[in-house]
Amino acid sequence: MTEADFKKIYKEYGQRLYGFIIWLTRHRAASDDILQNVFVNIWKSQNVPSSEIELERWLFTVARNATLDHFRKVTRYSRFRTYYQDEYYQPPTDPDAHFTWKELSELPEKERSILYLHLKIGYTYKEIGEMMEMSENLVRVRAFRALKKLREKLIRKEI
Amino acid sequence: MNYTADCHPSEEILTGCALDNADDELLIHLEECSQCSEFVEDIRNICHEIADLEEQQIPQHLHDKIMAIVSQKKGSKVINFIQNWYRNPFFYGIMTVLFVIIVYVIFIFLL
Repeated sequence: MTEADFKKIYKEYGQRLYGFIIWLTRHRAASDDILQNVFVNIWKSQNVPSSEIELERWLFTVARNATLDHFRKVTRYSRFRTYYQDEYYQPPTDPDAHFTWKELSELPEKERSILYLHLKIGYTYKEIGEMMEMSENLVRVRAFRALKKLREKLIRKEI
Repeated sequence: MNYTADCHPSEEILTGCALDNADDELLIHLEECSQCSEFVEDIRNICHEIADLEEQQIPQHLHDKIMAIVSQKKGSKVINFIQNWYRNPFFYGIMTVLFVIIVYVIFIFLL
């Protein structure tokens, strides 16, 4: 990979990958570390896909795997777990929004990933299934389950 | 299947309806049933809120770190070469020949 290719990838996808990682970790400092690792991996990688569609999917998969690695490390070292739990990232919320970022992010990681990739990035269930090594139906079920949970949270909040 | 005031579609079907397209039968039921239409509306609102989430800006210090990855790699290539040139048979051979020539030239001049 050339320096120009690297910068092009960063320019086109950096922002979206960062949003995805923050959505998963809920922690600004952790997301910074993960995004940096993701780009180190991209730079070192010998098998960067050439087609745009495959590249985008590959990047989100790399970002998700890096985030999961981070979760494993954090779970292993409870000292850090405490540190990270203390500092949830809370973006400025829309006053008209029904729920806060924290409520959204209380969903399990897989459901969170699916919702983000489907609703924010626009992937189909089939594409997400290929990225996350799950069947299309399972992705759909998890998305439905996540939305249902959010709706229940919303109702509980209103009561 | 005919949906009625007592026979509602499952929540999975309603969620699917909120995300994708619904069939005519379901649309008719939604017009008549406030409970189901409210459910679909809630799910749609949630989807819109997620889709409209604000993009997160990459902080400047992180941007600088990521850009530095490329230059670090360049630097490390040179360092790697300096440290490991003798492991490459081609460079090892060239350096050996140069050494022999230099020793020969020095020997000629001295004598």
